This record gives sequence, C-alpha cells and structure tokens, in this order.
Amino acid sequence: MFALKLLSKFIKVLRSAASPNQIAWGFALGAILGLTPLWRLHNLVVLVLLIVLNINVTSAMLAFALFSFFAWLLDPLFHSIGYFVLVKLTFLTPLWTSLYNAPIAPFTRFNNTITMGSLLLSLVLLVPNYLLFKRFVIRYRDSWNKKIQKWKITKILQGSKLVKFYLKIRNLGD
Amino acid sequence: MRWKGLIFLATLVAIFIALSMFFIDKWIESGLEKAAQAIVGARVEIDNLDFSLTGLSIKWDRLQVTDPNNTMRNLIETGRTAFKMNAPALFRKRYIIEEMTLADVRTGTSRKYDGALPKTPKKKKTKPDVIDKVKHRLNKEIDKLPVMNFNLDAIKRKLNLDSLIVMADLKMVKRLDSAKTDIIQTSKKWEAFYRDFHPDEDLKKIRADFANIDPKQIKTIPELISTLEKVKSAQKTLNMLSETVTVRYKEIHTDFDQISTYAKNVNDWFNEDYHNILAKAKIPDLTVRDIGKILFGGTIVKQVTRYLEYLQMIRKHIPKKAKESEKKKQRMAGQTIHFPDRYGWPEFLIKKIHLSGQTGTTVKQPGLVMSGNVVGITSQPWIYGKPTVINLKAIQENKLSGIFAAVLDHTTEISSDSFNIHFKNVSLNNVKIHKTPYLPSKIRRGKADFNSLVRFENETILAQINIKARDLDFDFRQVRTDNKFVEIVQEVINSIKVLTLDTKISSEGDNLDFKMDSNLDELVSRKLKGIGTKALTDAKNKIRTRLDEIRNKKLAEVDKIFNVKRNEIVEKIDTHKERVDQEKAKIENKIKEIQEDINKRKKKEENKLKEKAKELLDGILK
Repeated sequence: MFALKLLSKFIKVLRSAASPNQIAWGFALGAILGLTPLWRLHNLVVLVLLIVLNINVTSAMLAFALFSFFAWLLDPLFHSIGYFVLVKLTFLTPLWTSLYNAPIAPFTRFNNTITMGSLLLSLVLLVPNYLLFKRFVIRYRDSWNKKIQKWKITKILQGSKLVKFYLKIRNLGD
Repeated sequence: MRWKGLIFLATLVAIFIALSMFFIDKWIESGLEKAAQAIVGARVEIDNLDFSLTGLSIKWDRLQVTDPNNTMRNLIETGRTAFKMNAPALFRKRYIIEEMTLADVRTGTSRKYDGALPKTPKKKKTKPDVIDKVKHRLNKEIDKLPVMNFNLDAIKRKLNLDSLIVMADLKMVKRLDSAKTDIIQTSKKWEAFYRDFHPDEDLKKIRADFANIDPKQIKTIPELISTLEKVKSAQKTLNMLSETVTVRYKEIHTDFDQISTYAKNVNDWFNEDYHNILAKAKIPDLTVRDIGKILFGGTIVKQVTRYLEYLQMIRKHIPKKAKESEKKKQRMAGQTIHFPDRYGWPEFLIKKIHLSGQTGTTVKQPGLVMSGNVVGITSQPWIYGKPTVINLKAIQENKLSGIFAAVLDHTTEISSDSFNIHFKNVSLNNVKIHKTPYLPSKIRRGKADFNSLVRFENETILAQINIKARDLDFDFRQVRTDNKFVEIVQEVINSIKVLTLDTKISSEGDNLDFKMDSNLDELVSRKLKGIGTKALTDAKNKIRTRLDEIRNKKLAEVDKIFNVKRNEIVEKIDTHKERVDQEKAKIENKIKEIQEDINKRKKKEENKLKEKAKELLDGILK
C-alpha cells in the first residue's frame, strides 16, 4: 500500500509544476540515502539538505526505496571498493589514520568497507543521477505523459471502481 | 532555501535538546543495559542512572546482572557506582573510563522477577572453540564413570555353589571318568590276552622234559649227550616263553604306569576347575579407583564448566590480536578496518575499577568480604598494550582468608590467561553438589580451603585445584543404602577429619587428561576390599570344599577299580615272570649238572683209556 501511495505521489510530482532540478536533486540525494547504510552520520547531512533546501522530498523517498534494493545487490561491490580504498591504497593511509584519530570522524564509520564503498559510489553517481533524472522528468512531461494517458491500461485503471474508491479514501484522515 | 524546512529543523533540534535534557539518563541507561545484556545473555538492570554532561560523569544507585544459569538470581549486584568518561576520547568514539568505583558488590542475590531474556531465534552455530571442546570432554569423562553398586546379597547370590558347579562343567570329573574308562579298557585288553596265554601249562610241559632227569641214572655218555640236547631244547622253549613273558610284563607295567598318572594330575585338574569356577562367578573387582572422581567429579566439572563459560565470555569480549586481513564478512555488515591509534586509546577501556563487596547475599550472612581492583578491561588489549589484571582479597573475621589474582594477557596473537585462587575456611554450609547416587545433593555443614592454579595458553589448558574440606556433614538420609558402596562412603566420610581432593585437568589439542586424587580412594577401597574379601574368601572356601568332596569321591571310585585291576593283571604277570625265571634257573642248573656229569664221565673214560693204553704199551714194551 505504501509503495502504491509513494508511486502515485511521484507521478503527481512528475506532472506537477515542481522544477525538474528540484526533482532531480531530490532523486540524486535520495540515491545516497538508499545506497549507503541508513544510520550513518553523512545521511544526517543529506537529510538536513533535503529539509533545508528546495528539493523534492517525494523523489528522494522514491530514490531511497529504489536504491535500497540495489544496495542489497551491490553489497559485495561496495565491500570490494571500500576495502581497496581503505587498505590497498596505502598513500591514503595517513589520511585515514588522521581521520581515525580526529574528533567526530569515527562516528561516521568511514573505516567500514560498506560505508566507504557505498558512499564513494553514491557520490560518484550523484551528478549522473541528477542529470539523467532531470532529463527523464523533462522527457516525461514533454512526451511520455500524453502517450501514457492514451494507453488502454491507464484508461481501465482510471475507470476502475477500485481505483476510484482508492482515490476517495486515500485522502481521508489527512 | 526552504525557510519552512529550516524552521522545522531548528524546532526538531530544540525538541531533541529538550528531550535529551529530560531523557538522556534513560537513553544511556537503556543503551548500557542493552549492551550489557548482549554480553551476558540475561537481563541487566541499572537503577537511577544519572549522567552529567558537564563532567561526562555517570552514576547509578544499583546494577543487577542476572545469572544466565539461574535467572532468579543475580550474578553480580552492585551498590552505588560512579565514573567519568574521558571527553577527548569520547569525541573520537573511544569509551575510556579512567577510574570506576563499584561498591557493595554481591553475588547470588535473589531477584524479584525472572531475569531471562525473551527467546530469540537460534543463532547460527559457530565452530566450537577450544573451551567448548574441553567442556564437552570433561562432561564425557563424568558420563563414563562407572556406577558403583555393591549389593552384598547379590554378590552372595552370584556365588551360589550349586549353580556355579553346574555352570562350571568340571573337567576334573570328566578326566577321572576318562581315566576310569582307560583302566577298564586296558584291563579288558590284558584280560583278553590272558585268556589265550597259559604259561603255566607250557612251563609244566617244559618241566616235564627235564625235571626228572637224573644224570646218574643215565648209563652212557651218548645218552647223556642226547639228554643234554633234549634239555637244551627245553631251555630254548623256555627262553622263548621267558621273552614273551618279559615283553608282556614290560607292556603291562607301562600301561598301568601310564594309567596311574591320573593320581598325579588330579590336583592340577582340581586347581583348573577351581579357577574356572571363580572366573565364571564374575566376582566383582573390588579394587576401586577414582573414588574422589566418582563422588565429587560431577561437582568439580560443573563448577569448572561454569568458570570456563565465564572465561569464554571474557575471551569473546576481550579478544586477542587477530591478523588484519580481508575477513569473510556478513552481508550488509562490511569489515571495520582499524588504523593506528595515536593516543593508545582502544575502542573501550576501563583503566581501573575499585571493587568492594561480599560473597554472601545478605547483611546477616556476608560471607567473605572482598576488596581489590581490576585494571585494564578493554576491547582491544593490543592497542592498550597491557594485560587485564585482577587483584582481590577476601577478609573474614578481620583476617585475610583469600586471594583471587588473574592476569589476562591478550595483547598479542597468543592469548595467555592465568588465575591464582586461594581461599581458607570457606563455608560449605548448604552448598549444593552434583547429584550422584552416593551422596545427597547438599552439604549440610563443612569448611574448606581452596587452592587453584589455572593457566590458559592459547589452546592449552592446565588447571590444578586442591581442596581440603573439614568437618563435613551430609544428610545421608536422602540416599538409598541398599548399596554397600554408599554405606562405606558414609562411614568413611563420617570417620575422617579432613577430605582432600586434588584435581588436575590438562588439555592440549585433542587430548584431555582429567585426574582426581582423594584420600577417600584408599580408605573406601580398603573398606570395600575388607568386606568383599570376606565374602569372597567365604565363597572360595566353600567352592574348594565342595570340589574336594567331588574329587575325593571320584578319586576313590577310580582308585578302587585301578587297584582291583592292577592286582588282577599286574600281579598275574609278575607271578608268571617269577615262575618262568625260576624254571629258567632250574633248567640252567640241570644243564650244568648234565654237562658236569658228561665232563666227568668223559674224563673217567679218558683216564680209563689212558690206563688201558699204558697197560698195552707196558705189555708191548715188556
């Protein structure tokens, strides 16, 4: 139910007047939340950014849900990247040692292979995610939205009593 | 900038700060309880924790740590406790406590409610470590101890003579019967021989040939010579008879000598049967070993196993240095890489704990009053660089009565733990012991001195535990006494002033050596042997007497037949031989007589002829 609700909200956002930049940045930041272990200090920074900046929270939540699934699949890759960066790149060891001995830094758990690997990958994917999703939003608004409206399944769903009932009750209690 | 969001965030932070001020004590209390529960495996409760942000100090009024083996009792209960956290370390996610005071520490206090944690789904079984293997082997040693059941009546029933004799299938009787058969068969053989052997008649005939010969009656020499030939012929016949008689004489004597060996062998057969009966009777081996182990091994192993579990817990949370290599990680958990610590701060460290408390559970019964300190409890000993050291002293009635000293050195890849424990005059009143069929489950009264030296070096364990117990009093009414062994144990324990138990446990690799010597071993063994020996001796005497009766009866039977037959057959041949020898002598004499006569006459004739010749010659010459 929650997934349907999220999806419907997202489709609403896609069709809304929210700027593609806001939606895309929301998605990109949500990807960081999804790819990295949730209870980490850096995610607090991401959450603060999501709250404080003019960024779409719904797309962030969708990205979080989507990329959490990918995170489970990519877990071995994150560990390999993290281990490589933390152990094999010996020229970085003084940096890590300094961080390990610095205040607050240990609370980020940067010295965990999954945290490091997933954070690095999500930071690398930050800009591409933003650019790709922005393009998707624009393309959806320009052409795909009208085509999808014409699909039979869309018409059936829109006409379905179940969907109408759902639309009626979903806002109850708000 | 989303101003609404900023306001929302500021509000959240303000609410968080406000809540923290009110609830931070509860959060820290809850956090510590959960962390401790994860270590102990049973409920941990902290009462009235007070956290001060300014000094980073923590205080609480009471700490209860449930005993996971008995969840209605506390493993440890402390009174007021206070300590400070090291602030710079805390900001670097290191939990360092410089000094801590634990007052009024007690063990075994009762709880108001069950301290067991809700059952969690079974964790994946981990590979058993060296301590698991030692525990398993110790318990196996106890399981394979023999059950001591000496029911004297049962032993006496086992020694029932008639059934034993029947069971035994006496060889002596069979062999005597066999000898009897031999005698009869041999006799029959010779009787058959005698039926066709009539030497008396032959002798008569021979005698007839020469006995009446008188050489003086024979006129001429040729007649004498002819008679001599006749006599010699008779002699030849007699010699042949003599040969036959001699051969038969030898054979008969040989046969009867052989048969008569039964008389020599009957004692050996008797002894053989006697020992067979004893073996079939399965008289229990009354040489008893390891009495101390049988009686108290379970108790010692239970305590040792318990302390091994504590050590296992300690080793899990104060681990040794492991090689930093890429480890097989759990999914979604990753691997934590440790970097050199510039301050020598491990992740968790309590530098010093001042302890004071008592082993008793109430004020009225304080037990041993203990005080001391524990130094260097840490989750990363190799970073701290120093072993964990425990030094506790026990005082009773203002005298030093015990020392507990331990060094847990996990600073390198080889962990080395040692414990020295010495306690005097420890009360054993109402102390529960491992249930056995021989002792009640509790010691009513007693005191003991404990000395223990335990070393764990990596995978090698060596433990020596010496106990000297005095004035022991058990309520033996709880134990069934149809078992003679139990009676004897009671007697011995009631009679001795001091009971000593010396236990040695050593384990290396797959080998476990568990020895327990006690002064009970010899005392109980001696008593058992005494009782058992008497029963055994009685039984042996009865067996011997009965076997004697059987032997004598059978032997008399065989002797009778043997003597009768021997008389018949051997005497007969002896008589024949004597007669033949007599006739031989006679015939030789006769031959000699005739020969002499012949010679005499020959000489006479010769002389006659000589004289005649002389006369003739004289006549011729005149």
